[in-house]
Amino acid sequence: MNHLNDQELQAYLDGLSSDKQEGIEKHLKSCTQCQISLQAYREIYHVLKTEPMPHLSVHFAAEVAADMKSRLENRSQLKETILLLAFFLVGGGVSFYFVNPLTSLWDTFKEMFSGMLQFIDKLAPVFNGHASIIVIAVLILVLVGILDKKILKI
Amino acid sequence: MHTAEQQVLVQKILDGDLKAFQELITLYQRLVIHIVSRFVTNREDQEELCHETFIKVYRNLSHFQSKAKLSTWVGKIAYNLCINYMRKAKIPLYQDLETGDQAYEFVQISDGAHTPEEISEQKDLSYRIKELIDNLPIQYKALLTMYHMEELSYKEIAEITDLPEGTVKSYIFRARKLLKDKIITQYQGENLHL
Repeated sequence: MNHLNDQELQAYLDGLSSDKQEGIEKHLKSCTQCQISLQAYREIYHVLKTEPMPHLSVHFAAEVAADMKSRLENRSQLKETILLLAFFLVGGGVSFYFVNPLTSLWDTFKEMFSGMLQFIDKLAPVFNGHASIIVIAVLILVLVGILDKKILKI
Repeated sequence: MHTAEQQVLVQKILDGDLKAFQELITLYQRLVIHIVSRFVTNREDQEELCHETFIKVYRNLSHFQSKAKLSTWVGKIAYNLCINYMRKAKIPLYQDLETGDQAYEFVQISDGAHTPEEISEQKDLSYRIKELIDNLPIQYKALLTMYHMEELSYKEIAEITDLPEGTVKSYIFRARKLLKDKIITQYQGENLHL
């Protein structure tokens, strides 16, 4: 008697042997060896379908969505920062190209703060003649601080 | 999920609806953890890979083609992340496949010295089968899970794994035959409740 091979048995359980179904069932009725093989496959199929598998927490979906939301917000902040930097770079580039910004800036600064500059000049001996540079540095630092906190929100 | 429903869900997510994204995660988190858990046993790593999968799904959703099946597409992302994880961890996934049957032969059943009767008293058949499945090469386990537990077709599994459909069929067949041969050898049909 020819026994059913593994391909035939698996196809039978997978429901892929409809044309041979009758012949297989007829053989199974009279062959203990094939019945044992089929039963072994049945047990395997059952365990493969029902074995306990790990699962994710009920909050998993909400956690991932919240993480995605925060990533998107960070990304938009980064975009803002990049845009701002680009604006300054372009603005700086244009200024350098068309005017001499340092001279213009210095003239404007002098006009605006002429009173203060006179005061600074009086202090000049104290800072060995570099008082104006120190004041400019302090002003730049204050400006960067304001930008940092108010605009870039970093 | 029907194609039309799938398209609506995808469009909502692309429009920035995070509730819809949450819905997508709920729909496919079972498939993803089932794939991931076949590759990775550490619980923390499993969760991290699942998390990473869905972040990647969100970021790449604009590339999703509406003709494809969303479940297959999500499964493919999870599967590829697992493969990368295994490569980084230097676990020889494909070597396992080549020598799968041979390697499996070396897996010792813990209480092999006992008679089948004694074994059956200690652990039932289902537990023994589960033990044998756990010791299968990783790739076999992943394919079996996708086919039996997730009820994916050979074609869908082939899409997820990028393996030819014939190869998927062959691996699944070989894995089940391997399990059956082990069971028959161990129990000699005695505990199979004919």
